[in-house]
Amino acid sequence: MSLINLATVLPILPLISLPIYIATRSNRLHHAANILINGVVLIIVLLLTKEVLVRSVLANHNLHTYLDPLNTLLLLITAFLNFLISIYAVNYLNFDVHHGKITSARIRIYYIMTNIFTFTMLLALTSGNFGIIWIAVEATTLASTFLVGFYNKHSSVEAAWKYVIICSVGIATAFLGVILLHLSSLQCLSEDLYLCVQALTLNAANLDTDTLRLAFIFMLIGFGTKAGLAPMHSWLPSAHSQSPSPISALLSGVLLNTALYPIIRITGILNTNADGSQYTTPFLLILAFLSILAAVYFILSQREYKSLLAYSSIEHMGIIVLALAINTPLAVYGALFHLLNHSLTKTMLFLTTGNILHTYQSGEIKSVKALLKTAPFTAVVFLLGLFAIAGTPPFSVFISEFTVLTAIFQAKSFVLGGILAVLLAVIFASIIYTITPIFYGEKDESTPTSSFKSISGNCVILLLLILIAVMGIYTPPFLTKLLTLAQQVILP
Amino acid sequence: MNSIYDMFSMIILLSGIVLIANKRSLSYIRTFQVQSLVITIGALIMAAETQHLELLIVGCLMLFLKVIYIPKYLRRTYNKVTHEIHKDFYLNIPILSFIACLLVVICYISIYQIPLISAKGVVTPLSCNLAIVLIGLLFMISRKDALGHIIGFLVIENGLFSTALFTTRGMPLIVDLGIFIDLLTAIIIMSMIIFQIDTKFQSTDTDKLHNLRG
Repeated sequence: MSLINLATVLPILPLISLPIYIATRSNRLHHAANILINGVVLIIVLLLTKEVLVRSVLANHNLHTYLDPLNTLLLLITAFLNFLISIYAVNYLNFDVHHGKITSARIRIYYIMTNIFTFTMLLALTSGNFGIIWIAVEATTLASTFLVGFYNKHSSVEAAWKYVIICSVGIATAFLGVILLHLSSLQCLSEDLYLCVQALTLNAANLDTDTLRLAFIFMLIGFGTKAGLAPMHSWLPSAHSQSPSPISALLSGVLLNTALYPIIRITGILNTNADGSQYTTPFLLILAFLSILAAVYFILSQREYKSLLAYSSIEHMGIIVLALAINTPLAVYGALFHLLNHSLTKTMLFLTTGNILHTYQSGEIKSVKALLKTAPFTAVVFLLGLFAIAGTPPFSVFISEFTVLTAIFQAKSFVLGGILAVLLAVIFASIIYTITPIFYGEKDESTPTSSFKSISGNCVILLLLILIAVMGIYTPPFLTKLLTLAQQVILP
Repeated sequence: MNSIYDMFSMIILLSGIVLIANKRSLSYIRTFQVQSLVITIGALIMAAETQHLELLIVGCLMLFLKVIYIPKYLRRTYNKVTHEIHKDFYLNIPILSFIACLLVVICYISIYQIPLISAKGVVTPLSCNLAIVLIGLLFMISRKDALGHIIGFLVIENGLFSTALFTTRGMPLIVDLGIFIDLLTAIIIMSMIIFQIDTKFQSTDTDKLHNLRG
């Protein structure tokens, strides 16, 4: 079987494991099946990445499969984090069952829904047709709705409702963009290539500019809703804070990238079409700055540590979009590198909040005290992770933020760069100011005596922490090559 | 033949304005049903004219899903949940209808200015259907009832679908099929969450969902 066929069956793999969850009752088997299937997906993605690094494009138009360095990069992040999160989820869910928060039958539901969720994300990232990408992104919302409302409390049902309504409407707007994109290509594509990503990218210069611009605006607003860009972000903090921690990690570290992916594509196409004009810049800039400002404002007023991290995700999406707006090779490279670093760091942080949540049984910052004494390992990695996400050297987020800032200054946008630097500093200060109270303080009768212990989970967190620390100093050559190739897809 | 599709687009637009003026949940569902029926007839006429099998399949799916199944499902949902919403609107109906008309004008003006679209002669269907999408959004933000939100979403979907149908003669079949599957799942999931909201909050009034602000 050639590799491109392997890419076609890749999204279906998670669905293969569904009968196991439906037919059997042993939770141990369910955990094993989920880890196994995510491991297989990761191995296939690694093989595909190796092939893409050599041949740069793998495509099969009949089956609408298309892999180029851009979606391979996102696919690699998705598969890798999915695998790690599936390892973490084992003890997390067992603890919930053990403490009567959920019944053991709910674990089956969890695995059925996460595997469908993984299927939709892999489909969005391997598909070579804008229509299918749209369908898959819409399906990610539907597949993850019940995961957001998994704990079935008042607040989680509310979060799930907000999530499904706002994201569905947003994605519906994006579909209008897809229709307009189709309309703009009618005169230069043959019928079998309608909406084909590769054909649209190659023929970008021949598309009708006005219609394409309208398509860009609708797709930016639509997929931007799903990517959590302000002012369409209101679903994100509630959904991320109410879902179980492994799901928060999936939503923040993986799903946001999937939602940004079509935006990155259409921005690339429109920039090529208008031949270096800066049409996309003001739109992206406005959304980027609104997102960063929203994060500045809301981080300071947060009472829950998971919503704080969710707002930080909005901020980082803003930084990525800002870098796309600058549209120089260095800025686009920085955007992609930042996307990778944000995913790794945020996943690690959300998994750590799982430890905290299970130790203290509360999501509120004021209920968590003396974390350094109660759970030293969790406290130390959480603190380091917070410094990493706030952009402290030597962690990798610092390097990518620095790349973006350098690109902005190289593009002679001194005011923009200055404002961004100030805002990043303010966010750094607010994150540290808001969340430090949880680390200190003395133990009293309200602090738990024992902490949640999960060796496999802690190994996953530690691995991610080491990765982001190492990548701050040294980026593996294959990643640099993949990032550079992906940047050339967007900005040839 | 274009004039027929223009006429269909206008009827769909009219049904959107009727929807905005509707007061009861059951009449929203009825209006949505009529609107879907109009789109279905348009799709079937287009299928007969262009001899495309794809359009015929899409038309039949539309008839089954949007005209028969989804309205029936929504009525069942409506009958199962409690109704305790005293004032259902944020704005009164004349103002809402006026805003809806303004949206139509804005859509027409902005679409008219794009040369490719004027040249293709699709200004009327595109602006009418774009207006339907916006009216759907207006409907969603003006109603407090969770069922009203679902209808708003369905009307937005209708607008998108008729845009695709009347301006580009339909999308590739695989895309259309995917949209139907997505739509159906979305409605089922939303209705299930309505049940959950209803059991937890004893009402489907979305004003009561305010734990997570800020």
